[in-house]
Amino acid sequence: MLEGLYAAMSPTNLFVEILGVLIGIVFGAIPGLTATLGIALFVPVTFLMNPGAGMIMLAGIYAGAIFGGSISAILINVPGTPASIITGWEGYALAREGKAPLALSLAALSSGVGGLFSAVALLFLTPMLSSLALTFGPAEYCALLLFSFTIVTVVLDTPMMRNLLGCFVGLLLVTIGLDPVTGAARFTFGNADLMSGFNLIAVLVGFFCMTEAVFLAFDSLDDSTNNEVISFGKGNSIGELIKTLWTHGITYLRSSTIGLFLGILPAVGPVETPFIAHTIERKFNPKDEKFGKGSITGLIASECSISANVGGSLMPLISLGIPGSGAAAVFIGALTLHGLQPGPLLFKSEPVLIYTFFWGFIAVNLFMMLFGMFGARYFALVLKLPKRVLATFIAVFSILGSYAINNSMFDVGVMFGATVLALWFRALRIPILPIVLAVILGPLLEQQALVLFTTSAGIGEVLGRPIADGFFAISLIIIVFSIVRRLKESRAKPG
Amino acid sequence: MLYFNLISFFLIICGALVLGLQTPDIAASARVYPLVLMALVLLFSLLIVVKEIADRAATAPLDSRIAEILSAPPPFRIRLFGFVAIWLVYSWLLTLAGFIVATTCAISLSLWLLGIRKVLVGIVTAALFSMVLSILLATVLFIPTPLGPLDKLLIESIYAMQH
Repeated sequence: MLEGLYAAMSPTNLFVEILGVLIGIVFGAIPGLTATLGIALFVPVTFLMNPGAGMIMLAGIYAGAIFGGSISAILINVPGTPASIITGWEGYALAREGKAPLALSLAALSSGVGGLFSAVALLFLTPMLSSLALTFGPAEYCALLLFSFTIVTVVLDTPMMRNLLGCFVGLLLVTIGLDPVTGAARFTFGNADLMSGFNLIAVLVGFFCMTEAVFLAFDSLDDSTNNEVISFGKGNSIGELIKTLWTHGITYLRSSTIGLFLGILPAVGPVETPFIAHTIERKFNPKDEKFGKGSITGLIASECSISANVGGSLMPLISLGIPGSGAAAVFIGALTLHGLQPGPLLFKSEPVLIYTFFWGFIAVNLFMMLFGMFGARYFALVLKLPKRVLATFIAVFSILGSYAINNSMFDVGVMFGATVLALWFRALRIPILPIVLAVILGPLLEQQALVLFTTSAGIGEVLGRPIADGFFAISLIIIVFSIVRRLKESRAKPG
Repeated sequence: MLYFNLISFFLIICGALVLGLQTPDIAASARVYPLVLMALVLLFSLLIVVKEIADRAATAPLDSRIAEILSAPPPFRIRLFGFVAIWLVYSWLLTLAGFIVATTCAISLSLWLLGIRKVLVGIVTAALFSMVLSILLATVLFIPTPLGPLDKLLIESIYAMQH
C-alpha cells in the first residue's frame, strides 16, 4: 500500500493527476461534453504512459468532469453533464441571488468531500471485495452477472422489454469473432478483421463521442441558443464554506454514503444518483423551504452524491471486472488496452499498480476540490467556446482515436457503425447502457456459463452455493417488485 | 412513427436471422450460446412489435433529441447530413491524402458548414491545428496517423532536425 502511495506522489503521476483534473473540469464545464466522452477521447493518449499513470489521468478526467458539469449548471443553468441537473436547480438560484462564488465553491467542496469519501472507501473496501471475489466460481459469476443485467434492465425508465432487447443485442454482437472457449470463428463472413471481434474502445467512442458530435453539430446550427453567463461577482468566504462541514456534516455523510452505494450498483450512474440523494435529503429537512430553489443543503446533497458515485462505480470494476457506470465501462476498455484484465486477479498480479491508482484517485479528488474552490471563475471561460468548434474537434478526435487503437481503418468503420446503432436505437427508445454492459460482460458470461454447465452436477449443486443463491434471490425480488410497480403505474395512467 | 418502429424491429429480426443462417458452419459447442441469444432477440423483437401494434403506438413519443432533428427545417437537416458526410469522407481521404491535408480540409469544411462567419480564419486555424497536432502525435504522443506526402516530408524534416 505504501509503495502505491510513493508511486502516486511521484512527479510524473502528480503531473498526470493535475492534467487529468484540468482536462476533466474543462470537458465537464462545456454543456454537451460528458465525463464518458472525455475518458473515451483520451484513452489513446494513455497508450504510451505506464498503466498506473494512464489510469490516474483517466480517473482525473472522470472526477474533474463530474465537478465541471456544475460550473455551467450554476452559471448558465445548463448542466455541463446530465449529472448536474439538480446542481443547476440549487446553484443557479443561488447565483441569481448574487451568490455565484459561494455556489461554485460549495459545489467544489461537496464534490471533493464526496469524492474523497468514495476514494477512501475504494482504498479499503475494494481489497476486501476482491478477496471475496477470489472465492467465486462459475455459479457466483453467473449469478452476479445476472444480477448486473437485472439492475440495468429494471432501473432504467425505458420499457423493460426494450432494455432486455438491448441486453440481448449487445450479447449477440460480442459473439462475433473467435469463440472464447473453443477458439472457433463465428459470424466472421470470411473477414479477417472480424476474427478478433469489434474493438471495445472503437465501439464506445462511437456510442458516446461521435453521437455527441452529431448532436452538438445540430445544436450549433441554431444561433439563438447562446447562453447568457451570470456575472461571477466578488466575495468567496472560505470560512463560510468550512462552516458548512459542521452545520451540514450529516448531509455530507448521508449523501456521500448514498452516492457510494448507488455507484457500486451497475447502471445507477452519476445521472440518477443526485435525484435520489436530493429526495432523501428533502425528507430529512422538511422545513427547508428553499429546497430545489437555492438550498445549500440540496446543493451539498447533489454534489456529494455525484462524486461519491464515481468512486463507487470503480469498486466493482476493479474487484469484479463489472463497470458501475458508462464512464467506468470505458475504463475497462482502457485497462484491456494496457494488457490488464480487471477483476480479482488484478490485485494479485499488479498490487502496486492498483494501490498507485487508489492513492492517485485520492490526490485527484483533492486537486479537483482545490481547483474548483479557487479557479472555477477561470474554467467558466470555456462556456464561450462555440458548439460548432466542439462538434468538429470531437469528430476529428473520435476518428483519430479509433484509428490509433490498431492503426486500422476497420476500427474507424466499427466506430461509425456503433454511432449509427446508437442513434438508431435511441430513436427506438432502446437505451444504450444495457448494450454497453452486455458488450463488456458478454464474453465473461459466455465463458462462465459454459464452465458452469459442463462442470456442475446439477441444479442442486448451484443452489448449494450461498453467494450465488443470494444474488439469484435479490435479482428475483427486484424483478417481481419492478413488474408490480410498472403494472401499478400503467393502471394508474388515465385512459 | 409506428412504421419506423415496425421496419426497425423487422431489420433487427432480419439481422438475427442472417447470423442464424451462419450457425451451421460453426462448431457445435460454439454455436449454442449465440443461438440462444438469437432466439431471445427474435422473441423480444416480435413481442415489442405485437405490443406496438396492439397499443396503436403511432402516437408514442419519439426520443426528444431525434424528434428535434427530424422536425428541424430542411436546411438544418441538409447541413447536419453534410456534417456527417464530411467525416465519413474524411476517414476515406485520410488514407489517400494523409493526416495533414485530410484534417485541414475536413475541419475547414465542417466549420464552414456549421456556420463559421470568418471562413479564411477557419481554414488557417484548421491548417495550423493539423500541423501542430501532427507534430505532437509524431514526437510526443507517438500515436500513428495515416501518412501522405506532406506528413512524410514533415516527419523527415523533424527527424533531420533531431539528428
